[in-house]
Amino acid sequence: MCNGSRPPGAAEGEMRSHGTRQTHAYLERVLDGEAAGEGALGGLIAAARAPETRANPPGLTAALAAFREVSAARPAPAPRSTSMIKNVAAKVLAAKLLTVAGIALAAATGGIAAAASTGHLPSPLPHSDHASSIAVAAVASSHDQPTSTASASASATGSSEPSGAHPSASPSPSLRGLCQAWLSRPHEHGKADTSPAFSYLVSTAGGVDAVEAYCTDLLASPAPSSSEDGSGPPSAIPSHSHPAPSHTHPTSKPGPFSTPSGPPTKS
Amino acid sequence: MPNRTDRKVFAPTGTAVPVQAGTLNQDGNQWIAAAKAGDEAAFTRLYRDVQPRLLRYATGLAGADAEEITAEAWLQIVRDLADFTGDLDAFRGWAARIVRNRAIDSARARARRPVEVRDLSLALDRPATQDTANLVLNNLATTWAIGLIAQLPADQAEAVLLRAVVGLDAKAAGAVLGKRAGAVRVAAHRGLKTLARMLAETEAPGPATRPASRRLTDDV
Repeated sequence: MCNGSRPPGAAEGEMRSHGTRQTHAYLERVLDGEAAGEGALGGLIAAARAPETRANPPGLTAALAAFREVSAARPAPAPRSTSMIKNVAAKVLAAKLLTVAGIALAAATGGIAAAASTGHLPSPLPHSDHASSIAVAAVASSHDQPTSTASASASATGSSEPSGAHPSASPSPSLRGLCQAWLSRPHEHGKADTSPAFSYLVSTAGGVDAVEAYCTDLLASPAPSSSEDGSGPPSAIPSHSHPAPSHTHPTSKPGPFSTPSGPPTKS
Repeated sequence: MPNRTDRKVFAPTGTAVPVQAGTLNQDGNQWIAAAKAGDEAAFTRLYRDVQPRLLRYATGLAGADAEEITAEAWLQIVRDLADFTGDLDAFRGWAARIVRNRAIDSARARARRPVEVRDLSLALDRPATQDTANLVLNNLATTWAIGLIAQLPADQAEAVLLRAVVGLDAKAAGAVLGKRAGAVRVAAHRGLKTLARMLAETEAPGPATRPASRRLTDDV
């Protein structure tokens, strides 16, 4: 049993014998997870707070890919406090450059090799197209943050002119990162595919079967070397895969909760 | 009363260890600082701490859509992280607010009609079943608990989840909900009392009919 300072059932017995007379203090302890060993209610809340048993909670891959992409697109923050942060940022940036270059290279060669050897893509994705528009909207709509440098418009993912029109940002908020995540773990596609973030990639590529080719081309194209000038949109989108039909309708405006510091609405 | 409460339906009592630890907050503050600087390892740690909380909260709000909602929320979190200031507790509250907004947007998009703030309980068609929770959460005990909490009225469920699962105090939970701390406290306590009644009713039919009293999981 856990850290029950009182014998199990004691609090519950008291609670039961008095109907609903749980004391304020007891309920607060339950909410704070400090009553795990005390009766039914404590057990329930403790179960609700139980540690995550999965080493990687769902969505980590996609979130990390997005994080990587945003970090790469953003100039290193000015370290205003310690030099340690500066060092960390420098190391991370260097590591990131190496990683991006390495993955791009590996993806290019590996993708070609895989395509040559197998002739088709592994493990198709059963579904998950429906989430794409919401995911795109979530990425594209930039409420709350007017100056977000990384919020490239979703339309940039679509009709990309092969040669010109230097876009001010990388192809999309997270396509590059998503591609890296997708290609770097082909053995996990079955799992990774279920993430809604990947559905954005799938719809952009024009279908699950086109993702690998799309990503290979995207990553083979000159990477926005570390940051600023996104040196070019994905130049060669495979002709057989059309980018997703402009699902750019923003479904959401800043919700009524976006400024929670306001006065509480009285009902 | 007879002492039949020692063996309970929810034997996972013994498995429960509080998600948060005292020293975690200091670490968390460092994670945030490093993640803002682009440190992927720090971001991963942050994610591992916060995402299970968000996922459970979202499951209580939106059932099977929880994973999708949290995925969208993290895209926004990642995008706006550089502008975030605060400690780990504040981060959890910020993230929970984003999840909540996403859940509302999702419900709104599905309903294709404007949704008033006060209609949240109507807008969020929380499936509130063990099955839907089971789609998202892998821990049986946790699934059971969240599924039960989700059956509460929405305001009570949210208050309990934000306090007990996300780990916010009453004031921070109130900031997420747009309520005062006192209102959150009342709602959370009401929710707990309702849960206690539900648990008592679950046990009422008789001790012999409940073989489920064995431990559901045996993790740490």
